[in-house]
Amino acid sequence: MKNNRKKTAVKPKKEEIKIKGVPASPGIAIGTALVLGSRLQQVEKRKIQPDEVEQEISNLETALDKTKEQITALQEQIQNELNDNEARIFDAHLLIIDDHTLITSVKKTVKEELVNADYAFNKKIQFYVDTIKKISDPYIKERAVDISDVATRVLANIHGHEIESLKSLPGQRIIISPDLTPSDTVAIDRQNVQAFATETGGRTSHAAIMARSMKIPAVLALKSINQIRNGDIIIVDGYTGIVTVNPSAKSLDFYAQKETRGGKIRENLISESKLRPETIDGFRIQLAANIEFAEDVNDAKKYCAAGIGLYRTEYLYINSKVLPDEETQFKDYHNIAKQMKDSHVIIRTLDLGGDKLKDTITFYNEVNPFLGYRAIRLCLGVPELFKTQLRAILRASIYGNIKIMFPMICCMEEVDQALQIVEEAKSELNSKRQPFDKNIEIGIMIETPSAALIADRLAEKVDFFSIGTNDLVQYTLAVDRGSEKMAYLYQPAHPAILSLINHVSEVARTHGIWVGVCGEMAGDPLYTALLVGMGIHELSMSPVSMGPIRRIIRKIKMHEAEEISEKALTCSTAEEALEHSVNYLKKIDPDIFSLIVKGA
Amino acid sequence: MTSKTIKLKIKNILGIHARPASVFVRLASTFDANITVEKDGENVNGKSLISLLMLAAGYRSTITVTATGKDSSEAIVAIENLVNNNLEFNEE
Repeated sequence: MKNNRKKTAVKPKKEEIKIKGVPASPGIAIGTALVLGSRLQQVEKRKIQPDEVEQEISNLETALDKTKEQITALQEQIQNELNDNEARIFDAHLLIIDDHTLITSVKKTVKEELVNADYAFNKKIQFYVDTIKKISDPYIKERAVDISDVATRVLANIHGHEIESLKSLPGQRIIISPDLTPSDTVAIDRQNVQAFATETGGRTSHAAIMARSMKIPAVLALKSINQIRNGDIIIVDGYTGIVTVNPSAKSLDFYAQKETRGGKIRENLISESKLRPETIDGFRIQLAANIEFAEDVNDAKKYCAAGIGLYRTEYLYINSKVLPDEETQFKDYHNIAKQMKDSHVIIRTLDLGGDKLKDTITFYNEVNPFLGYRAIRLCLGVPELFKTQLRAILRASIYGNIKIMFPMICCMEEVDQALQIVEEAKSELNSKRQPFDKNIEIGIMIETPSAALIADRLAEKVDFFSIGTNDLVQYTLAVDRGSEKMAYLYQPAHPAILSLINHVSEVARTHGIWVGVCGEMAGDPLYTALLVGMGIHELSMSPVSMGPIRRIIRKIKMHEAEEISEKALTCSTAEEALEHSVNYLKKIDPDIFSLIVKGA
Repeated sequence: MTSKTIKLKIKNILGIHARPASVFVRLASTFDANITVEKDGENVNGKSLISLLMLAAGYRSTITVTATGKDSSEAIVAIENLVNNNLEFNEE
């Protein structure tokens, strides 16, 4: 249809686009996009006269001094507001400004090539950033963000611009960004941020952590954010991970309704959080929380977790940027155990490597790090590293109800060796007369098919199992879940996966030990009936997922769940198996079902 | 001019990235001696954070540190200590 009289302010209608990302924090936000580009500015090259050199260099030095002041001020500000770890990152920023090699070479370029200082500085920074980005080690690679962050400040100071600050937004905005820098996240205008959507997707990314703590929707690992323009109307669905750009009237309507519904459901769920996670016929399931930071304990308590089913200690290692010593770890574990009082806290020993990090850490250049030197293998290979952590856990164990869990077990020898090292750690503490819980429970993650298949033998050695479904799916189906092309094969309801889970659960039952699930399946309403039906005792998940799962458990009848899981176990495909569970969910809780089905 | 050299293996599991590198640079800068760090044939200034990051010295890689100047012996001892302590420093 043609409309020739389109001379009004009405913009030509833009086409609706849907972009898929990973949901990182629930809720729906409808609003205006504020697109943050790569903040490295384009700087014009200008020829200067020899007599201008001094002025250029003095401008640069003034800007560097000013930047230093700003960073020091920021550092002081956040030391009060945030934890030390976040504040320390600015230490590195200060060193970049003081970097003699960098500054000398910039000055040299100004003098020898007779160009403006901001251009010389920017060019040098670009070179460093590009080179560092190519480094395969993800930790070092991530530091490119820090260098850009500092450079942006320096350039803004040379140009006399106010830095594009998120401190005061023009109004409610949805922040779209490749990633958020530490400077952004500490200074952000919290009142006006509606949601985040970022291109990078690590669970350790600043945006993810911020969104979780601010309780606003977030979608990460968003493909092609360059399709979003500043000022576009967009919808961020933190339940499904779908971002809609230039939504049609139909989509706006759908999401507005979904948000009202979702908001109401979430409100109800909060009011239900004190209710027991018990099936209609009285079977009690433990709902526990997966946490990454000591601060997450607050969320776990808010949603009334029965305990901490998984404390991922890697973040202690990653966030501190150097290996944490025994004392640092002890304080952290002690703090969590004390806060959780009698409720259990399962501390998983170091599980570095694979998808637990933004990229993969390659200790050697391994072709396939997922099958490489990581987790328990690494710990057994570097016993001092492992023992330091074990001593810290053991020492903290007298202050609460701590349990130890080893990740990525594949064979009996690993369990034997790990237990042996625990004994060594215990006798070291004994000789130093340091107390610990002598009956501390020790369990293992079941996340490889080999461990699942020899579960009956492993059960003789340990006190509990926790099934890590993310890795179990990955290792059983030989599928990299980070791979976009392979996403279709990432099937938690695959008959092989269900059989393994069921087998492990049966073994646990016959050996009288308890079994939990701590992967994403545990927090996904689609699988609750299946897992409960297979006899899983504990479901451990991110605290925000506990509301829906608690509600579903309270609507389940055990004999029905058993029936569903029995049927699912006989299916030939994941799709068929899932159908049983989806239909059941639709029947017992249409509200929750409607929130998690994809898209408009 | 006295010059001292030592080969060191990185035992910090995360390699020399921002914080360990900052700590290294801060220590190196307390000495008058010139300090260079070499890895795989690449030689950089040990007092420059950015240069050190560019070396990408990961876990288990080997670096060669050379100090040249009057306090080179002290510098090498201090750096050796630092690296062998996993680049952990007694932070306040």
